[in-house]
Amino acid sequence: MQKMYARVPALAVLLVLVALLTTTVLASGCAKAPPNLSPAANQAFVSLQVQRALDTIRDIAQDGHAATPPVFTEATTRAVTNWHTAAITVVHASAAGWPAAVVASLDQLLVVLPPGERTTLTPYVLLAKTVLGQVLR
Amino acid sequence: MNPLILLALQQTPAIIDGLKALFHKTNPTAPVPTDAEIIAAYQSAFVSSLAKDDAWRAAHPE
Repeated sequence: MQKMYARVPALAVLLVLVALLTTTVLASGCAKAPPNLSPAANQAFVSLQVQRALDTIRDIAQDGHAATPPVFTEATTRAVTNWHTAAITVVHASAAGWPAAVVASLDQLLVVLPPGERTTLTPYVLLAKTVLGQVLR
Repeated sequence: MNPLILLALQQTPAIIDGLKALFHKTNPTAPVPTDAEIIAAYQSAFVSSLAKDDAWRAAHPE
């Protein structure tokens, strides 16, 4: 029981961090595109919003790995970093069906993570999916 | 210190920037970014993000 109570501050910090990052990523990620953009510029605008959300996942993993003690293992951070490289490259290529490919890659990323680290990263993955859904409406 | 607290502290600048963006009032007379500026901003962000991934892998060889 005492062990459970000892984790309450950490969970509270995690919840506050997720709430604040949700606010900030949604604030920048769901900005409306300026009017009268060319199709290429509109695509760049959308891609930038999506990339920022994907960058957040990578940054959380890398910063968490750098913390002492690490929040994420090196293997998890490597998996997230490699996934991020592939995902933003897919977004950049803007081939047909890229949003579905990115969502599928987010789901796949969670599958390969250890359960404890998956729980920590899941809110950020859901956040990225929300941004994707918003900018592609 | 708890690593989650450290992580929260590390993310503070991003949180502050986001809150500023959230409460920023749009100035109707502010210049609208051009197509070229938007495309250049995205290309720059893409390249620097890839570079950050490469830098992490270089610092953590398998």
